[in-house]
Amino acid sequence: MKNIKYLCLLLGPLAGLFSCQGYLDEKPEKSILVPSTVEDVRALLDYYTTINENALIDFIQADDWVTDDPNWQRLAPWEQNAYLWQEQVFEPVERSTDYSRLYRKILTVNVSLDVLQDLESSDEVRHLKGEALFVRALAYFQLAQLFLPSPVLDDGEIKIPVKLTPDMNQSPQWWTVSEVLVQVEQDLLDSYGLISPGSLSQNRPNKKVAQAVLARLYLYTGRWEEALESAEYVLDQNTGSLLDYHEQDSLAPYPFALFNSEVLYYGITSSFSVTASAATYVNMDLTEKYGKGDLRSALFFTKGTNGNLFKGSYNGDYNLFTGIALPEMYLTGAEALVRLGRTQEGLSLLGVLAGNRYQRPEDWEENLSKNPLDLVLEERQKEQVFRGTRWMDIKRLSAMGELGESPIREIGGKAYHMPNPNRLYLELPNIELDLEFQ
Amino acid sequence: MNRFLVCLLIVFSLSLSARSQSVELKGLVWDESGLPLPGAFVRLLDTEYTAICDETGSFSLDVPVGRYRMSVSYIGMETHEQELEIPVAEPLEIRLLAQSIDLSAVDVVSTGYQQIPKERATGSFAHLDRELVQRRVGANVLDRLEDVTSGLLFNHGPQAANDPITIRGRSTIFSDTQPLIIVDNFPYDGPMENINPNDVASITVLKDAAASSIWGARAGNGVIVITTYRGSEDQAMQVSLNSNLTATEARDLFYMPQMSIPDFIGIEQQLFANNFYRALENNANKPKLSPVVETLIAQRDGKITSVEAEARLQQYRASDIRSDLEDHYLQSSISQQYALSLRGGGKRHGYHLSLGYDQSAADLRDNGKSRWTLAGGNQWSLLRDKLEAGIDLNFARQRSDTRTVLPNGYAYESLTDASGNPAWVTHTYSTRYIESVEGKGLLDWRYFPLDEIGRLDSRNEAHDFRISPSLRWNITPDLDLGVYYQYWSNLASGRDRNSQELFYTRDLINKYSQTEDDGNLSYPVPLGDVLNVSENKSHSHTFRPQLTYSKDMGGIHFLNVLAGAEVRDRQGLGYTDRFYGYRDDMGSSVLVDWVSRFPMYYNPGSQVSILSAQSHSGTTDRFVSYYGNVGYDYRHRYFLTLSARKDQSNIFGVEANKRGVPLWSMGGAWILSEESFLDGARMPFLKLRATYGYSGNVDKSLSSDVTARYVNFLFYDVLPQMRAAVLVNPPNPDLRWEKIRMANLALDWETESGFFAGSLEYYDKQSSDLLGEYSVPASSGQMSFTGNFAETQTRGVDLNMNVRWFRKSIQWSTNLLFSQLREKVKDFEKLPTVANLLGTAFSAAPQPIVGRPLYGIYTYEWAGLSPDKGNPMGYLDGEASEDYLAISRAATIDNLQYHGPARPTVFGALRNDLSYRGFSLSVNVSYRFGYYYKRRSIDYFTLLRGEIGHGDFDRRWKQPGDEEFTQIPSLPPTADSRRNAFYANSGILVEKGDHIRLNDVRLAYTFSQDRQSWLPFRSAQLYAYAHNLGIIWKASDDALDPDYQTSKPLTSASFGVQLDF
Repeated sequence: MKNIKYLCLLLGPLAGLFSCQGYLDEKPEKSILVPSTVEDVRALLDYYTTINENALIDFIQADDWVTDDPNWQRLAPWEQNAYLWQEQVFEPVERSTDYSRLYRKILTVNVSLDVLQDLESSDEVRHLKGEALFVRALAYFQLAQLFLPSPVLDDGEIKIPVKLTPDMNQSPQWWTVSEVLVQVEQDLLDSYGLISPGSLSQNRPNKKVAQAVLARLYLYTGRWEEALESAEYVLDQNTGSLLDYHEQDSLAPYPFALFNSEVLYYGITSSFSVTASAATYVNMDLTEKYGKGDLRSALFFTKGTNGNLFKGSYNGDYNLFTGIALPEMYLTGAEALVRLGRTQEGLSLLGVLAGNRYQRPEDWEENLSKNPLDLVLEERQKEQVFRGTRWMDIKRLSAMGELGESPIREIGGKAYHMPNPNRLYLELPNIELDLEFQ
Repeated sequence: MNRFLVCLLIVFSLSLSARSQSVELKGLVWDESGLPLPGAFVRLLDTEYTAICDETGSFSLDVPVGRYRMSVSYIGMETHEQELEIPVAEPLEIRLLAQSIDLSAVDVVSTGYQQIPKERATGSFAHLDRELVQRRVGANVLDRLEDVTSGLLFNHGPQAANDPITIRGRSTIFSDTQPLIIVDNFPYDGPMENINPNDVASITVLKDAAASSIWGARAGNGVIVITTYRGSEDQAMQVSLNSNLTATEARDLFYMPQMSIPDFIGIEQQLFANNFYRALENNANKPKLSPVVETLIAQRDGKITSVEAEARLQQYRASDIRSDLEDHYLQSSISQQYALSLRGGGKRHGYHLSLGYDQSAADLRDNGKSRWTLAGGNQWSLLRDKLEAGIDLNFARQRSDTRTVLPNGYAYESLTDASGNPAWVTHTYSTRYIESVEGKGLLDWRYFPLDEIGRLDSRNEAHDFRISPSLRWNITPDLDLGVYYQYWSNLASGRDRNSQELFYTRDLINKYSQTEDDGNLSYPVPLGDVLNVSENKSHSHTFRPQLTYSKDMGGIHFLNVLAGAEVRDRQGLGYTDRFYGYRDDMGSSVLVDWVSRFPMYYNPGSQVSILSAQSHSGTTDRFVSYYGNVGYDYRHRYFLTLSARKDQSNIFGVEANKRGVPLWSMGGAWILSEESFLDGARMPFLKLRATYGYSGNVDKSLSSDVTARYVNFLFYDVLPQMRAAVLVNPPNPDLRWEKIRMANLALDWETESGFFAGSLEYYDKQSSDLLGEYSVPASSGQMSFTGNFAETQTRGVDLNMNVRWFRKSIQWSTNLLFSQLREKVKDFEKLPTVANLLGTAFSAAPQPIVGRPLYGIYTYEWAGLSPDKGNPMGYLDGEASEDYLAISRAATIDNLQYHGPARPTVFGALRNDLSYRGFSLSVNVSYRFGYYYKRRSIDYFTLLRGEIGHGDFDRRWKQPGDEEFTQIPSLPPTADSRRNAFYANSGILVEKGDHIRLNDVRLAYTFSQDRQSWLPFRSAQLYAYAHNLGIIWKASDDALDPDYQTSKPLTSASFGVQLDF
């Protein structure tokens, strides 16, 4: 029996040796991590294939483009519905990639913010916090444009789920467009305060980008003075960055380079059936608006079988550029100035952009006889074509009764009208509501 | 003074008075096939001298000189009696003859920690002895279990790839679904292909908690214990050689019904007329279009006349690519197997050595694989049997070569031209585009599949090595300490060279080619081959100290205690890489620019960087476990077992106190036949046993913390050089291990002379804290979430019966396996969605609904075809309706039609074994009942997008009245996804899966020295074996095999010889 005691003494520590903490703390997989450092958050926010990818539905619904029956037939059913502005876009059991992706960005941000909170404050931690808040603000802003009415028409009934923490078990809050946009503004202002003034790579936001989105937000909500202020902030820092369209090669298959000097923030909308299709035609009514000497016409469009195709993407290929580019700030500034009654200032700001867009000064000056607001809106539509901002413009202009003729689409010999301004939002996918309230 | 005899795993002792003239009596007990019989009972009649054989079948006794009558008995064997004059000169060699061919009754079952004679076990074990293991022919050892193991189901349906084997129903939903596989007492980490079935002496499947709880947290899906051959002490050298050849028919490309080609061409013409292809025709990516569409384009554009066009179409109508593929690519596959083994032993020493070679040629030309295995081991008894030492070495080398792949083409494309030369077949780009760039200095951009036969150079190799030394120290006769260790390593490497002769490489070079200002081409992807390499190194250490205590208390109480600890560490490290411009003759490659984006030659709007194909992986799997087992036996009549284990593992991001899970089990058995009240019952063996306990399961991919993964960007991303991470798992602080609670009640019996033997088991398995995936609202940032959330219950019966009809010169026995199980979900926090339920049929996701099995078949109720248009109809508010949107909106879990389980609920096999003199014939028929499947049918949505459809098209509704004899909807005027989704998910496509299959037949003739004394070796067996012989009966009219919906189960025939020297 002595032997047994001896043995236990021998075996005990032997077994104990391996149960020590370190042995079982090893990660089961090298590439997996629990985000906890600045580097981890940097990597999460650099996952640009999610963070910088924007929704497709707003492009489908906007009147930048038209297509024909055979091509419409090839679209996915939800794309077909969105094209015809149906109330129910998604099949009863269908989930929406756009919707899910936007909330996925928000979760990434909420996780990042959680990690950053526990880190000792440093410039980098503040910058990352600013970036995270920016990404969340932009995502909620896009959700508001898609699934909520224009803030002017907010009746307090239509809401979307909002989450500001990463906890999976916590139910979302349900907010109206006014409430959501207050949060968006706050996040953008906080972001502006924290974020770095410039960024190494155009997939990352910076102070200018935060102000640019603020300018968008103020324009959307009709706060012209603030819109002007934000646009001017961006323009002051970017003098001379405009691309001179005289120098671009209109014969090139895709004249613009990725990450060119006008790009403030990279963003992409990509879809094989819509953006890469040879039947995604530029709206004919729109192409007619490009007048004599307008360099954009040749740089943006190329002849297709049944109409013009778009080749002017700032991504340098058939993927849509839906990030933020400098010209938008000229247009926002000019519109704000005109609306504030500072018409001359507005037109001269617009003139700076036009100098790089029209062949000769005379070509531009011919336009100055038009109603200044109409001119600035028309220039906006012509400059921002296929850049993912048209749906936002349609929503705000129609809410103010300034859209003019309501767009019409024709499929299978039947005409479909865009709904009234107070119905210009998508219903949340059925299945999401089922899951939320299960 | 007492002397003790220690038998290896079942320790027996007895006391006797020392006598000065005692001498040692040693011997070996074997069965007919030369396998040792551990646990055989040796007794000198009318004395108190008894012994039990150890695992090598040897025994020894110290007995006084004199004359004795010895009896050697073993359950299921004829008792051997002989006169004996002690001392005897040579060790005795005793061969017991099988009393019955009830193989399960003669077994020693192995848990991987100890070996227990089955008659003393309380748990549920299914045992396959050598004969059953060797019954089937083939290279894979697990296949040998199919249809000969009670309670074990090989899945053939859509879930088979993720979940090939289930033991007593499925326990887990999302964790690792595979049983734990133990090879020679250690969990096996390598691929099963590395185990040579010819080395396998027996396989034990542990089915209930008492049997498997000793394996703890990994035993939730059952445990399969594989034991390979060992040599034994004092055994003359045995050499055996097995060689066989198997021919398997080639795959059948015509198995899945396909619509007629002229009909399909008609559809393409119709689509063309509707301008359907126009967008693709003008697409900037120059996508390929079918030869028919290209012909129609050429005709429209005036490039060919309508007569020429019609001639081409006529030619397409008459050809079928499947015939060309069968002619040029497919053949019967042939595999060969050779195995040589050698085992024996000297004084206090045993050894074994085996060598195996398997080689098989695939049904696709020039492809094949081969395997070498080498296994060897030695055991020694040292220090007067105080110390036993052993070492086993195993080596396997596998290699597979791919030189040809089956090409894809349009249904009516021809692989040869009119004069029989290799033809240009459409691939990736439109033929118009390829022709338009001819003469621009590019490499030939056409694809000639027949020229590529045998031109691939892709090879995967794996080297697998195991060494397991062991030491056992018999500290006292009752107590021993064993120290076991295993080192395993596996090196898998792949080399895939795509020579510039291949379309793949030419295409890659061409599409990256850039036209320089001077008009010349530059090649960012350099000329030369593309070489992919990969390497994966893994190794593991397992260390296990174990104490065993056995005590016989006066021949009445027997105690057996086992306690130990196990530490495991498994690590893997791998990478993949790619080289461009590789020249095999020089062994050199060229550096390329992986960061810049290059406009594609065929579409400058598409800018893509060069694929680097670099990736890295690293895994660590660690377990620390403690286990113990107590067995108590009263008069060999009442048995009690207790077993417990605690496992801890390196689950990621889990608090230390949640890393471990304690699991336990208990069991009892009562051998009724030992009781005097059953003396007159003519039932030599009757045993009742019951167990209860827990086992578990773990999913290491989950974590309680939020986790992210570093990712490599793909080559078409704009910033390929960025280091980024993506969230993979949202935080889950409540994560727990899965637990499986199982109760098992069983009756084992055997009538006199083994005429009728068997076991009947009933079990109740409750699985709680099952990990499951459920849909969550996207606002959470996730589409679905995996966590502990479900509870299932499986109740079932396993019956294994053996009847030995004749046992004279003609021997005939029948074995029946019957399993019936009822599985249902007891609790589930989140309901699946309707989409989840409808999707189950072709996908692997289980969809739990309380009261139903995890896998069920759900559909929209079918209301027939509409008489006017032949549209499919469902029910909306009780009325037949064609409003598919409304039907799908109105669908709920409750109003979907539930047909039944998707997996067999009754299954088993009936095997008849006949032998006469040297001949033996074994026929196995398997059956599966009580399940449903969804058959495939015509998909009009994809057909109207230009893809050829199912053969049901030919039998569709064409005109009013057809609804009387067909249920296949009409061709709709336009692609209607909702109509199609309704039909695909409708009840009309559900079939009953019940069927009976002639699984295999084995015919053999054995020459043996007993009968043929002229034979230069002990025995020789010639055998023939045929597998997958077809369905005998099935419930459904569907032409296809219910278990094989997409490809045919291939029939094979084998011939072989087994020589024993």
